[in-house]
Amino acid sequence: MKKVLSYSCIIIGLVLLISGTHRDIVAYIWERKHHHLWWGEHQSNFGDLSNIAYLDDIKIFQTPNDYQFTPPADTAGPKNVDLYVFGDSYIEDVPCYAFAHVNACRTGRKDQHDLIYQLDKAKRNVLLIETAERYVRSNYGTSDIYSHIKKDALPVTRAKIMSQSPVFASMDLGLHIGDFFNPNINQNLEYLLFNVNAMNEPRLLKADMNYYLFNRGSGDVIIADDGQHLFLKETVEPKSDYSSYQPFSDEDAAKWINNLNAIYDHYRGEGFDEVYFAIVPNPVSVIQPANYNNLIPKLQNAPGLKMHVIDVYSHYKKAGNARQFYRAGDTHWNNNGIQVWLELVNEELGKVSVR
Amino acid sequence: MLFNSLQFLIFFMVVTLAYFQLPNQRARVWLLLVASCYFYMSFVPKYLLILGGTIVIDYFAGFLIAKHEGRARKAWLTLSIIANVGVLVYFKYFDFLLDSVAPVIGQFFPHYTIPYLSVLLPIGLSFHTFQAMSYTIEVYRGKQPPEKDFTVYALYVMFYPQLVAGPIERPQNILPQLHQYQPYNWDKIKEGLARMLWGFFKKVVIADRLAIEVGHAYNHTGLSALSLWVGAIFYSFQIYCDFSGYSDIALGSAKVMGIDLMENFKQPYLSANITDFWTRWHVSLSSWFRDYLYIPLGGNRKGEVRRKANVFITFLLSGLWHGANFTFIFWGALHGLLVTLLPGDKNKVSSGVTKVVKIVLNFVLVSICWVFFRSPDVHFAFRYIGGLFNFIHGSTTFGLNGNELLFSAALMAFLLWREFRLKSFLIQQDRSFALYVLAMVTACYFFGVFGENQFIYFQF
Repeated sequence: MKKVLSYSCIIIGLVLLISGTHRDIVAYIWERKHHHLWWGEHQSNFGDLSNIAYLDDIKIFQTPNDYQFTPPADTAGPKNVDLYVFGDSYIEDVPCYAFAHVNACRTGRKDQHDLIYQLDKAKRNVLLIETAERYVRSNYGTSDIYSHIKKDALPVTRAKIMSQSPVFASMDLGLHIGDFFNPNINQNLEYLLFNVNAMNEPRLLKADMNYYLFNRGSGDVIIADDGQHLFLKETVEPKSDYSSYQPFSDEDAAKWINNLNAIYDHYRGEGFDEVYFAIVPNPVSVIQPANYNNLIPKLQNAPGLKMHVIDVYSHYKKAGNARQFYRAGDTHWNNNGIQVWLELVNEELGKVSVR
Repeated sequence: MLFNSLQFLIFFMVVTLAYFQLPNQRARVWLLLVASCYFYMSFVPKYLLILGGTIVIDYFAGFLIAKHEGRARKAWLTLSIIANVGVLVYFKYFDFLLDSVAPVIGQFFPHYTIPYLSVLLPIGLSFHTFQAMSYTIEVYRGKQPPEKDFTVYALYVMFYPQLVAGPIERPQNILPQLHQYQPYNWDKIKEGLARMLWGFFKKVVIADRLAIEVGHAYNHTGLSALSLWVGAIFYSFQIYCDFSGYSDIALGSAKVMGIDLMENFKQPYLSANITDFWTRWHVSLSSWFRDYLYIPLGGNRKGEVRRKANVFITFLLSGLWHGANFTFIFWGALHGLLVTLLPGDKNKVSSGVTKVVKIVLNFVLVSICWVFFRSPDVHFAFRYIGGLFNFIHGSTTFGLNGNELLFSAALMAFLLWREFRLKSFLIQQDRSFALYVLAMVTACYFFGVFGENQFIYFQF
């Protein structure tokens, strides 16, 4: 009996280690669980940070998605803009009809699907690049953006796979040494073993205990100093490249401006009539700005920057209480926040359409 | 692979269960060797080649040293040490050396670009390099015959519980155990598992919780003396729980397989003086330096002045061993000075109150020295130490709230009590053992601070 038990445990352990390290197996299980086809997982509708930190019970952080999109009220003027939008999760819900003066629009999203453009010379072609502030350093420090916003169409098969399995970008039948030493194995194992309904109660209990006794979130989530908002830890930790508190020197700014200018020149050369850049501030940058590194103003106000910017940062600052633009239990903005952004974008599109 | 990870828990279960299913020691050695390769490769796979290279060199060096006498014997030892130290210097100290001479080069050749390596340090390099060197030195001294079985020698260097952060073992302790078939022993398994759980508790419940407060103290400027003292004292406990927690897991996981590793910590914060502290802190490293550096330098055999010089050199190099940064050199030098200048009073028996006062003073001294260890640079360390004695300015803020500060203090008191009162990890009754496991797992889960925190000593 002991022998049978031993061998069973060895086999189960090996299966777990292999499953946790093999990208395709994890992708398959992720897909199944995500669609609730197997044994479920923790899903909170109150916000991604509430969800990660298991703080669903805490009322202050219960902020459901409240986006409401309508066609812009002021539609006077031609609808002659072909709009190409490349962004991230901040604008993934924005429908094309929310943009003014748009004849057609296409979207692309970093790490999910590329933005493919075919310019119509009879139209005003506008490229709008949106990014969350925390990704500015990692995504716009190099020019790899060219591989994500490009003219030629991708082969259908790859595009299809990418859209089905966003986390694990491509499948490869060849075995590489890295396949056996997946750096994400612990996250994968945790997902495989513990992201099940049965484990939710103890997790919620632990999260509540940490919150009420120690006023702390989970490892990845930090509670704001005033206790009213959740922040992603990596946007607060000064050592992280995603952080609003990591020093951003004038030399750093000059380097990034060079990159942004190169991106601008590239797409203007490709035939775009205008290229816009929109940085969405990390919530912590405007809600808890005492040690803010001023990344956004340093980039946006630089005299040498060629790109036109959609400056929501200044609007949020001017408005006073920046909390009104973000969901308390989420990394993202709320309907107020996104509407300010849309108004600014539509204002710019109006100018382009009559140029 | 971090000990405090799910991957390690599953890996440990698979390897241990397979270990006891294998019929002979040869098969077990192969199993542990393959498992250790996997363990090491889970950090950076290609660095196994470096480790493999030095293992091959030292294996053959052992034979050549044993075969020759006189100068040839010494030459083979020197060659082996050069190979080991060469790898260490190349990966760990090359950029540091360049950085140190860069200002001078810059003055004479302003347009010269310094050729920094900028390579990632192979994990645990200082540990396994020292362990490998202890083998060749012991063979040279005639205290250890050369190991004939290559797989056993490779496992001596690579045995996964102590591969990346020690204890730095001696061949006389480990090699005979690797040749011997260890029968299934339920008491040893219980003892090992109990020790592992205590190690996990120290790491995830105490060290990683204190790390939040320490991070606050070291990442904020303008703090009051109180905030800085709390940061300094918490760091003393953090580094102890982090490193001794690692050692407990290492010793426990080896014990489960019937293998005894050397003790690395003997309640160092209960030392009454700094010399005593160094007989209790990171024992495997301090005894390595004593046996292979301090004694060959002359030890205490050549007069008092020479003894003090030898002690100072040993501590200076011990500091450098920890990292390529002037902070570690300062830390080592400071301890060297304290050991040489302060009285050891080894033979004096202190009364209760006097002893407690001495322990507290010694702890404060050690905590101030740790500031160099934790600081990013020497200027920062001096500024921090200055802040410890500036009782007028600064704001008193903490990284943990009042409840958690009290809880942390209670945990530190519990730690001292537990390690002072309960020396053994063996729980005879199975029911008590089951309760202990349940209590520790529950405590680690509910009070553990998780977030993939690496062990501090992994960087060395």
